Amino acid sequence: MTYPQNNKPTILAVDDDISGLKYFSMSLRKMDFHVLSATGVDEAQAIILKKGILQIDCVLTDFRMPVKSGLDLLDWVMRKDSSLSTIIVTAEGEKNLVRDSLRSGASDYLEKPVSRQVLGGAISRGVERTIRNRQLLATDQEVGAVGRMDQIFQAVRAPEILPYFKCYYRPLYKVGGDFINVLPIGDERYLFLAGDVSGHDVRAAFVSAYFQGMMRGLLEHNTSLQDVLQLFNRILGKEWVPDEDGSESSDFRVQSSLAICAAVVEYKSRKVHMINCGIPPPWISYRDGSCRRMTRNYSPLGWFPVEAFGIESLSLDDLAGFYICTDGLTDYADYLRIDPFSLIYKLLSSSDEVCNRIVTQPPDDILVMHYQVDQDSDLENLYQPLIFEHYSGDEFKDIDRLQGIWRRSLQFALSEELGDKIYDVLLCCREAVLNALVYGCDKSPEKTCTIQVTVSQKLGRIGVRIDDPGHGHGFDITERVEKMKALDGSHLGLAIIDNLCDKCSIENDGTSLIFELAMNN
Amino acid sequence: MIKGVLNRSKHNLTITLKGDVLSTNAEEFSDNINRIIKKNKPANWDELKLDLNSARIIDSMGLNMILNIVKQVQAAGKSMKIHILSSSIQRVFLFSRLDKAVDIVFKKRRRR
Repeated sequence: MTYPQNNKPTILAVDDDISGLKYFSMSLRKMDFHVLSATGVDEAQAIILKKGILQIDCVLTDFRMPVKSGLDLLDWVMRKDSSLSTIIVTAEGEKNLVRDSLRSGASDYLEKPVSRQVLGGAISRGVERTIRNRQLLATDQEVGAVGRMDQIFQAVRAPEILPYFKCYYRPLYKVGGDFINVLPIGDERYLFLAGDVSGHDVRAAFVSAYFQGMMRGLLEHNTSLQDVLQLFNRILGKEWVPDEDGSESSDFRVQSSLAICAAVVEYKSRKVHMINCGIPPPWISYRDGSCRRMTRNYSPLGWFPVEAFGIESLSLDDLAGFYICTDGLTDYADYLRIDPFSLIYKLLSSSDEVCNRIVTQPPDDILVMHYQVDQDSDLENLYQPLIFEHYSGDEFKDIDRLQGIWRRSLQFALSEELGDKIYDVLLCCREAVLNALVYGCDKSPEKTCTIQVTVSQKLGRIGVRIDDPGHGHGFDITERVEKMKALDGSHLGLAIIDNLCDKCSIENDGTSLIFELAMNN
Repeated sequence: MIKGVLNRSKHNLTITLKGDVLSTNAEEFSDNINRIIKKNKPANWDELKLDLNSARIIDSMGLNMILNIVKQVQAAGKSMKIHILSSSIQRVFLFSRLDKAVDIVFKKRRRR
């Protein structure tokens, strides 16, 4: 290989044997390398420091030298710049040395005597490896810088809402991951924007930044949420994609899609406007501890044309807050075999150190946020969801599996806080859900019941609500339990719940069972 | 899952159940308990010890199953003890007044 005169790779040759050093130097010069030489490790280090390590493209060093060995030099080089290739020259039969040097990071080894051809090949490969490593490092640093810019975009720009806002974000890569924006967009008007761009690269970061900037600018100038989404859906689905007939000059396809959930909280009109395109439907929690998922949801932007995006508007008056997460969180909850709310609860109530212990091997970015809309209530007084699941009537056969999910979820979220009380909670949930599936849903796969388990740390209470679509019982629970004389009478399950719980009531003509238990501590 | 041991010198029959007693296994437990009782003729024992130490939950169907065993044992003129470690199960037994019919031996489970 020949190199341009001003761009000759620089090789540092190191050998205490003067004749050997001359052989290496002369041979390499003849091969058009620029050669620096040293007779020992200290001299080699001094040359590297003086020239600058980035000016050296490969180090060739003898292993056996007095005072310090070639391995010492290799260790030093690895600490200074691990991208610089170092080739160790050993005497014949020094297999252990070869093994040690390769383990320490040497890029290659040569066994004496070394022919010029072998020397030239090894040095050329070493130089190429150094160049490639340095390019990768530079790219990695660039990506890191883009990632840091990403984070600047994602700051919460409304400090007044911070006391009511909780968020956990664990990106999988340095750049191009999920994003969260909280921006003031007018008088007592705030935008909460969570998104997930397909891919985890610089292109994804570009799409994400473009969208965030566009969204902020247009909303500040009073464009409606629907119109902004309509525009970006068109940009992703049509503008950035060449026409099928090839009339576009470029054949480069962006092929990106964007899942987003946007919520605009307006304190003046006492409304929250929400729209979801491709993110797991957000959960909306109410002051009584109940919650539900958003019902109107669209595909990610860029997938299909949408005639008109609809918005879900909710009154702030009975709302406690809302939760938005990307699919990395629900996937990780599935992996842990727990309810997503237990994972959300733990991540939003634990230190970074605890969270990092919990999220060890995420398969995707994990992003979750909670905003407490009801700022009059003390957050800790509000019941926070731990379990929120729907079951079809025919799942009564799987009650042990469902109970397993509740057990793991409660133990995960509350650790030891529940103590033995967890078994009371599980027993009551089992009885209530079985009753809802068998009688409320008639064991039918077409009918579903819902279980919600919430916790109030401040009050030290667990709340459970089970709803079914049945006709209900229409009886007074207290009276019914009082009348129970025989153990094998009807509604024994209900009697168990009533006895184990501190509060138990039936609403909606018997289709909703609500009970509360005190936690141990 | 279940085993029975007859102690002829102490005239008792110990039946040990492994795990919770629930709607999904109560019937199977019931069949096995009846099989053990049948195999170890009541003439050979005066007391039945039901060891539920490994159970943490007994649901309503499990409770009904145990009640049926209690009735059978009482009808045979024998006494019965139920051993438990779970405070949740103890609460269920107390509210259902099972402690009035049989001797409940409760030892609080040690925390690990």
